[in-house]
Amino acid sequence: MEQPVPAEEKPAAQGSADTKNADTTYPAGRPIYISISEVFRDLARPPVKFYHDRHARALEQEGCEECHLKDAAEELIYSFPKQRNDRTPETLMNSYHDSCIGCHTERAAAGKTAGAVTCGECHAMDAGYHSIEYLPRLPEYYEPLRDTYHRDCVACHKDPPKTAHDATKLNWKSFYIREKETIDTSWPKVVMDYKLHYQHEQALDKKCELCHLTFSEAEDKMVYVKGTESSCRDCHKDTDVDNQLSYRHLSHNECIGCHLKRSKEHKKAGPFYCSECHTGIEKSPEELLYVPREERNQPQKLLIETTGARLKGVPFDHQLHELATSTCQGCHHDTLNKCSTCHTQKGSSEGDWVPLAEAYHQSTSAWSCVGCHEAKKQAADCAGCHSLMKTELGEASCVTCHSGAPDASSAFVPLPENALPDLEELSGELAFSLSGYDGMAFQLPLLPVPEAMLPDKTQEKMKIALLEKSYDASEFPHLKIVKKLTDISNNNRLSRYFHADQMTMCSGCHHLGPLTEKQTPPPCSTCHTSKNTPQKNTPTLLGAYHRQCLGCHKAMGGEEKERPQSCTGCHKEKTPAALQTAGR
Amino acid sequence: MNSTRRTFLKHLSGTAGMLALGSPARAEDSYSQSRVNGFGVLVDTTLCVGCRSCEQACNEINTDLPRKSPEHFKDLSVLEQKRRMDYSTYTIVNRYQSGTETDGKPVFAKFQCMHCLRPACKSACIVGAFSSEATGAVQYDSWKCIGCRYCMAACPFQVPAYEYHNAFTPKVRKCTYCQPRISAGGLPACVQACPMEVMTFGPREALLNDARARLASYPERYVQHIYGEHEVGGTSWLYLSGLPFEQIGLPRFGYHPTPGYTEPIQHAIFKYFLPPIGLYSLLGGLMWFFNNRKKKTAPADFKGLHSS
Repeated sequence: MEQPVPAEEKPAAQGSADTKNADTTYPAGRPIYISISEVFRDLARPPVKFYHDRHARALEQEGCEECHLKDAAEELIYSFPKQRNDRTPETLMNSYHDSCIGCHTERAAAGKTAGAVTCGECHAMDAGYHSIEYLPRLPEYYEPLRDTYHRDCVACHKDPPKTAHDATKLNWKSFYIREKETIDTSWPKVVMDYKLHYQHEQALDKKCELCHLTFSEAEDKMVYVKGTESSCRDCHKDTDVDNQLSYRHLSHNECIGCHLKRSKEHKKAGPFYCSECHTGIEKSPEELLYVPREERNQPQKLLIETTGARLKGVPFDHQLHELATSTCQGCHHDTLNKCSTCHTQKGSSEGDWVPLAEAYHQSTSAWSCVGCHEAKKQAADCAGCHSLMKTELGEASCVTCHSGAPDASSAFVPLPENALPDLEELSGELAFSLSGYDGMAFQLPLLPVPEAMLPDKTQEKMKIALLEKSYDASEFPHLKIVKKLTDISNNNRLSRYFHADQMTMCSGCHHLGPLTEKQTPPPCSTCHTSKNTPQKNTPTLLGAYHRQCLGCHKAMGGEEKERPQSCTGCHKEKTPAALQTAGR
Repeated sequence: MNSTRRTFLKHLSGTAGMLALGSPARAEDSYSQSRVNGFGVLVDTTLCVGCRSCEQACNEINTDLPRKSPEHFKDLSVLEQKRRMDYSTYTIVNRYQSGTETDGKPVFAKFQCMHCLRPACKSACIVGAFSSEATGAVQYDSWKCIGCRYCMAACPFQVPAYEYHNAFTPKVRKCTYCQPRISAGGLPACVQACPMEVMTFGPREALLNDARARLASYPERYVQHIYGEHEVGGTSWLYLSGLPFEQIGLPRFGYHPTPGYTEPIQHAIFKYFLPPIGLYSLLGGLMWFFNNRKKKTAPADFKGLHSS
């Protein structure tokens, strides 16, 4: 979604509080859409687009206290307005109007840069904004099921909510999409990835107790317990509950509060303008490979096994998998517990009723082992074979993971200490160069180059001449393709582990057959004949060739020369061209 | 009273009218037959690469279409515009961009007559130039056609094209389902020519099972819906797609058959000339009744022409 840009965006005097000049404008940043629909329900006017960064820069001299209150400990509370009265929607509206328009009027009278005072200037209609209408979400082809939905779903999801409990549940309106509301009002999340955390560690001299506090019931205050550090979201959820702030309020209070304090003390501090944290840029795991490992006594390698299970346990390399994520939450949700703490065998409410087996094996989840592996298979380099395969795990793949305790010879070699670049120097950069460094050396099977195998097994070039009609025979560079795919597989840790056997690679194209080392994989024409009418999903030879070759080329993309997608890229045309329908 | 020939005939026609009222027959068609026995074509649009071999094969087979050279079909720049069938082609391939992907991988879809199980064109045609064959094909007979183009207005997919340039013998043009070929056990030309085997020809019920198996095996590849299974009463050409069907040019229709909106009136009430018979019987009856009353109130000394 494109962010709507305000019309009068001008490059401005950055931070220079030239308050006498009424023409100075400051960079706006991302707008906050003030609609507070839980109080105001259906809006009479469009939501206000509030540019916080612009206000913060304009009022840099006056400081945050101009708009935000301070609590008893002289810490800023980032709620607004100062005299916020949310008894009724009208009083809330008035508190906003008094604060905003009041300030603007004062500043305008004093000749300073000031904002709008009329209704329509703040409550401006965006190009994509229409009045919100509730339209049915269920497409018409689910019509026969509509009665079932009405009976079963609406029974609980009532409207209007009768109790506070109901109000937190989705009511029927959330099943209806606001098709006409086309503005994306969401802000990009600020991700505490490994690098950001490391920078905080270094800046605060590894004093974990400054941030990682837990509430102790016995002492009735926040205490630091070493070894229990977890994500803020572990306790602070989406809404304020009594004294426990929502994550949103908490993070602004704590993070910006600390940054402001440190910058006043002239120490190295983080940013406090909105767009400097909410950059929208998330670091990929590859960019975080060099960040020193966060030490929280987490295991390096462990064996995941369940008593009484039929399959052997899974030897899980935790240290290796840390390199595959940007944050611990990538796998551990918001706690840093092990999976079986919340996901019991039968399922429990803490685990959202996801039983343990499903937590590990759910192929569509981002947090499960299998789910993450499935997502990696959708990369362009893998999609050539994997996009054509059915989305279900073959039975043979179970033992690849469930191989029991590994022997001592498969130890990995950690990075030597002095191999790490100085992170302080690189703190301004967002991307690291990875050329020439594997990061971790470990014992994983490396597929041999096919020439090392029996030379008559993988043919070099094959002439595919079975269906010649409009086109000449195709020169199929079989060995070149096998080599290229083997190369790709060898360069990736995940594929190297799973493609341990050369025959696994062969079955990418020569599918549906038990392939052993002893036999040559059968040619396509063995099963895909020219004669059978395509009744089931078994195409004839023509369809088999084109679906396999073109399907792979389409999925992997790349240059036309390397992976042709046009007709003549694979086979030359015969002249004169034969009829499409000739001879059949 | 005296029963004359005239009264007898009046009574007879009145009875016939009443009988016709009592048995409103259903709209005849081979719908129920083609539902079970007809052929269908399953089009898997995720496989199509937009090579236009189907268009070329259709042009080769149907010799009454204007001849086009193979080079004409190699020109893929026509895919930049969305096309419709016209007098020169029974099928076209259109290209669509998948709306959610930033790399905009193109998606292709082939269009032709959908050979509906309850065709709107056949229902709308006032001279019955369309017929549903047992194979599922909706056939057009140009000898009966009077060029009123009601079929073009009625078709929900806007399929029939017309030879506007032909002043004296214009014909409606639409896909014939290669009826001679499939009746002889062959395949439609487009189905056979496709290198990716996007289309699968076979009994409609078997194709539906095949389609459901595909939806189950590759759930993230397809939208979980078979287009044409029930739309507008069911069509012979069934579509699978990775994008929502509206985005590939297949409109969102309800399941009610298109003729089902008009046939309850046209084919039931107006059947067997019932309204005129009914109306004239009613008027005739009224006239007879009031005539009789006049006779009764005539003066006693009236000497009519027929005194008996």
